[in-house]
Amino acid sequence: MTQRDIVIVLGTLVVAVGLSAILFVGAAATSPASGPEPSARPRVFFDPRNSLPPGRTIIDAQRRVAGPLQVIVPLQRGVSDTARDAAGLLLTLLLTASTLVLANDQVVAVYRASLGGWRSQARVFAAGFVVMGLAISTAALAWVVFLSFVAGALRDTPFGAPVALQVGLTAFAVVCVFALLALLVGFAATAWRLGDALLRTRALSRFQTQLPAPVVALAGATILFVLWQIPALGAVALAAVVAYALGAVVTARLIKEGVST
Amino acid sequence: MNNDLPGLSDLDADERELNYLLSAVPPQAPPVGFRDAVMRRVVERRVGWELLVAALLALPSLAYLARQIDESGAEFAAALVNVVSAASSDTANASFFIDGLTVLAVALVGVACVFAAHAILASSPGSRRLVR
Repeated sequence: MTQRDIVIVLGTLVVAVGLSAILFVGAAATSPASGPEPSARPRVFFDPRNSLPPGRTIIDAQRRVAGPLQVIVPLQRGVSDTARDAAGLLLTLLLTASTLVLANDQVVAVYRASLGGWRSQARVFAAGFVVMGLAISTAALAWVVFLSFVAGALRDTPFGAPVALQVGLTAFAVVCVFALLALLVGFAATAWRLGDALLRTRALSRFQTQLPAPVVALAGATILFVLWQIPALGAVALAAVVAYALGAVVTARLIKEGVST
Repeated sequence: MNNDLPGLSDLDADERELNYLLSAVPPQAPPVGFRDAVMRRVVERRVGWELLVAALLALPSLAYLARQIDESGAEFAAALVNVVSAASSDTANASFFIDGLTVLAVALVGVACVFAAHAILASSPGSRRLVR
């Protein structure tokens, strides 16, 4: 192992020890009540009729853990609340990282296809918007044709319309999954490009050669996720990212390959 | 230009003597398998630390999740049943809550799996590394 690897392992060890303490305190503080203690809040709760019951207070939770670990209880509450709120960000980072690892070649190809000056960027954006429009209009027309068929040809047939609608919805879901996979590859490459663009600025340029590509991509994905949370700008940013990601995938798969072959 | 040896015009004057000396050494065939062994050492990627990091991240989280399922498995099942029944009813409002540490533990297991997957893929022959 190199010195850098040892530092990473030791850092992870410290994080793992701290995390284990927090998880232990969380497990002890929320374990089922025995006797007259107030009951703990359920770990997972989904109910259309009843509302969430109140949980234990920090003081109640501190009574359930041993002396030195009582100090961690407020921190454990804070980490728990933050992690619940950050589930979306964690999902985004996890999907980006797993795409970078499992679809490495595809992401690198899309990344390379999106390199270039403003003309190339404009072309990628334009290709993405065109593909989005094409996909939306194709899906809408397909549903029109399909619903016309269900309402016309399958009229007065027992179970005909419900079964046909279920088949249609399932097929549409399968198509959406394939589109999402392509979008995921494009999003990982877009996040990588954004991270690269930020590292080219004067303030951050000294880190350009030090940071590995996955860290740059995850930084870009974090920035995009934060952008999506801004009320008015979020929807515009989301549409722009989807267009750029789709455009980059199309440029890599169709335009560049078409030119080279 | 002074060029007394053919084919060495790209060498500096002080390099020529050393080159002449080294070129006088008779060629010697390395033992069978030497080249493969050297190339294996060059290509080999040390991924042990990634597996170690994956284990460090996954083990506490897996222990926590196992305890959660052991203690509160009924709560998970009830929430799942409520989700299925709500999907087929016309209710408009529903309350949802999940323990944040459970979210964190699940995410850390995922991160550990990414590290492990990268280690497995990188250590396999013919793999390519993500480069800048």
